[in-house]
Amino acid sequence: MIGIKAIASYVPSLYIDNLLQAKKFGESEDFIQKKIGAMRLPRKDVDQDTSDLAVLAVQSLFEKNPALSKSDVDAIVVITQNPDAEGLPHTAAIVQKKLQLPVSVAAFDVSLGCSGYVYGLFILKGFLEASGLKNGILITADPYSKIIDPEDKATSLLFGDAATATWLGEDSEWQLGAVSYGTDGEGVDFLKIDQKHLYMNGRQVFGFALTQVAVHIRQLLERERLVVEDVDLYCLHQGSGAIVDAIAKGFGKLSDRFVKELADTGNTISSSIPLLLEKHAFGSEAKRIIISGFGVGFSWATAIITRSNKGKV
Amino acid sequence: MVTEEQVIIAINQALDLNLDIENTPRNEALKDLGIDSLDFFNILIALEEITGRKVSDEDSERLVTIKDIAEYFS
Repeated sequence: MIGIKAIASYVPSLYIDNLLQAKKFGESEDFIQKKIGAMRLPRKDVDQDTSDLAVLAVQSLFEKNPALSKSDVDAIVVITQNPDAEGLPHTAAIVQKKLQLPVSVAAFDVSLGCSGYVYGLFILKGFLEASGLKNGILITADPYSKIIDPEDKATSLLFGDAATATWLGEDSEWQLGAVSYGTDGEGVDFLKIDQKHLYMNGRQVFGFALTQVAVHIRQLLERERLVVEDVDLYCLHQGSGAIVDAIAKGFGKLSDRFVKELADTGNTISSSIPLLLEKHAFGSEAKRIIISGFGVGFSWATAIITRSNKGKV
Repeated sequence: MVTEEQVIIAINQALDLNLDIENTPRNEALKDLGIDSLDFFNILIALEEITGRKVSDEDSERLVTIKDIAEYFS
C-alpha cells in the first residue's frame, strides 16, 4: 500500500526580521511573539522562482534517501498557487526538466493553498495506485513573497517562503488513513489576489479557522470511532500562532499535543504541515497523527496518518 | 439583549482574562485595555456564538468600546 516514506524540505536562508517589521507597523514585540508566532520570515532570493524552491526540496529528498533514485520516480505533483510565470507551462514540467527526471514521469500541478498538502497526499496516492505506479513525489512550493505588498500589515507579518518534498511509495513508515474534506466558496473573497497583491480579511479567515477546524477534526474522529486522546500529535496548518493556540484551547488538557512551530518559518501555506511531519512524524514515537490544512477558498482537509512499523528507508 | 457586564464576561472567557466586572471602563477603547486586533476577533466570534448574530466587517469597525459592543448586540 502506498504511504509516506520520507519528507525533506528547503527553507531559504534569507529572512525578514519580524520584530523589525513589527516596529514599522506599530505592533509590539509581544504581539509578534504571542499572536503571530513568527520571529523570522524566510524569503527566497529574487532570482529564485517557485520551481527552484521545489527543485531544492526534491534534491534534499534524494540526498537524504539514497534508496530513491531519479529513475525510480514515476510521478511528481506540485501544490502551488504561485507557479512559475503565469502557470503555463505547469511548474511540475519545469521541475522535471531542471531535475532531469525521466520523461516517463507523470507531472502536474494542483491549485490549492493551505489545505493543499492533505489533498495532495490523497491525490498522489490515488493516482499512483490507479495507474499501477510505485513512487511519487508530492511537492509543496507556494512562495507568497511573490504577491505580498510589503506595506500591507495583515499579510507582511505572517507568510514565509519554503518548499517540501514528500516521497510516497510502498513499504512506507506512515500510512494514510481516514480523510475528510470541505469547501465553502463563501470565503473566496477573504483570501485572494487583488490587483496583483495578496488580500486577506484577517477577521474572516481567523473566524473560519476557529469555528470550522476543531469541529471538523472532532467529526472525523467520531466517524472513525476514535476519541481525541487516541491521537498522539495534532499537526495543523500553522496559520498563525494565535490560530493554533485558539484551536488547541478547545481541546483542553490535550492542547499540548498540538504542535506549534512557526517561529522560524511563519505561515508557509501548503508547506507548513510537511515541515512539521518531517520533524515530528519521523523524529518521534508518535503512532497516530492528525493533519489538518485550511485556508484559501475556504478549503479544508483533515486526515489521520498512522505508523505502519514498516520499512524505515 | 447583551449587557456590558455580559460583554466583559465574554471577554474574560474568550481571552482567559480577569477584567473586573464592576470597575472595567465601559467607554475606553478595547485597544487601551490591552486587547489587540486578534483578541477582538476572538471576542466577536464568542459573542456571535452566544447571540447567533453575525457581525459584518463594516459594523465591526464601529465597535470600539465595551459599551459599543453591548449596544450593538442589544
